[in-house]
Amino acid sequence: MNTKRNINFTTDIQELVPEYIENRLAELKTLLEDFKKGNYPNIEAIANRLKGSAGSYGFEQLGKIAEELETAASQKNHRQTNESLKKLNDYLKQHQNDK
Amino acid sequence: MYRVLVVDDDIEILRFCKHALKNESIEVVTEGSSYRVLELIKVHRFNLVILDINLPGTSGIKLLEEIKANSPFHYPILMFTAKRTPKDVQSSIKLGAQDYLVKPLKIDVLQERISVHLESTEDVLSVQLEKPEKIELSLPDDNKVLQGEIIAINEYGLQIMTDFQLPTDTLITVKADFFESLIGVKLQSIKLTSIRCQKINEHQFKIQLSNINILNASMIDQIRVWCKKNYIEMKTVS
Repeated sequence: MNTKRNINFTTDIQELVPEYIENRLAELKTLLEDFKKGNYPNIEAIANRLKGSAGSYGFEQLGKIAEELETAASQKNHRQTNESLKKLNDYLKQHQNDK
Repeated sequence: MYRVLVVDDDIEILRFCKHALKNESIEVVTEGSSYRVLELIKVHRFNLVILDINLPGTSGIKLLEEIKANSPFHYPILMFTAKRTPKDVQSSIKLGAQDYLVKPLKIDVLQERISVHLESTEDVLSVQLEKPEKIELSLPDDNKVLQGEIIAINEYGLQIMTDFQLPTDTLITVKADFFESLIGVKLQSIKLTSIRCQKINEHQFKIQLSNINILNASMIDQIRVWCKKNYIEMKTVS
């Protein structure tokens, strides 16, 4: 019963981008609250997930920021975590209106 | 129709995969955790399964092992991994994974790899009945009995042609006589949910009734035997 057929995909990812950025902005609020509470494990977990998905949606730079954030949080480095969160905030605000 | 299962705890990955693989010949089923997966793979036939290596709870590697041990069907299993960690890749391949994909996934890479693996698998099984079987459906809230004809049995459940329309997700009861007469399997009265109703014309509706407990590997085998006995050709449909 093997059937060989050509599967044609015509979808691009652009239409998912606005929702992705909105979700990241909502997630940023959680990250900032976690930072205030010193909840580095949660920041690390979120950053790890972000690192894994950002490039899929075309945001390679966001993936790098997430990697920096993940590293900083894993080391409980307050200064680096703060800097990475600022970078994240700036990046997301910059891309908030991407369509 | 191909059916692909994607298991990842990141909703953005699931959303991405569902979108990237959107195609008229592919149904993408997504799961955010490992605990339902074993139940799903026992009763549904998938053409391809993709697992994230780093799942919370039961790890992707452990889940791979359990799927290989418990699924009555055989299909390619691919792993998502954040890094090409040799240990994870080796463990996956050793346990039977066919391939791995490194995150972040690129849409063209995902599509290409999925195509390659799907094109080597069989379609989801579906039995088209050349002579439709009559069926009676009763609704829970009244004593009304509705008549229809079963035109196909597939791994979702039953396809029925009727002259009535039901809202999606109506809970109904099917008389068990159908299965007994059709494939000689004695069953209790079956409750079916997840109805999808498609209007064919003013007087005809096609209803897809689905219930994950209705069809499993053993029943599909019995249907296969029944078809052979009654000289009904089993066809695969897209």
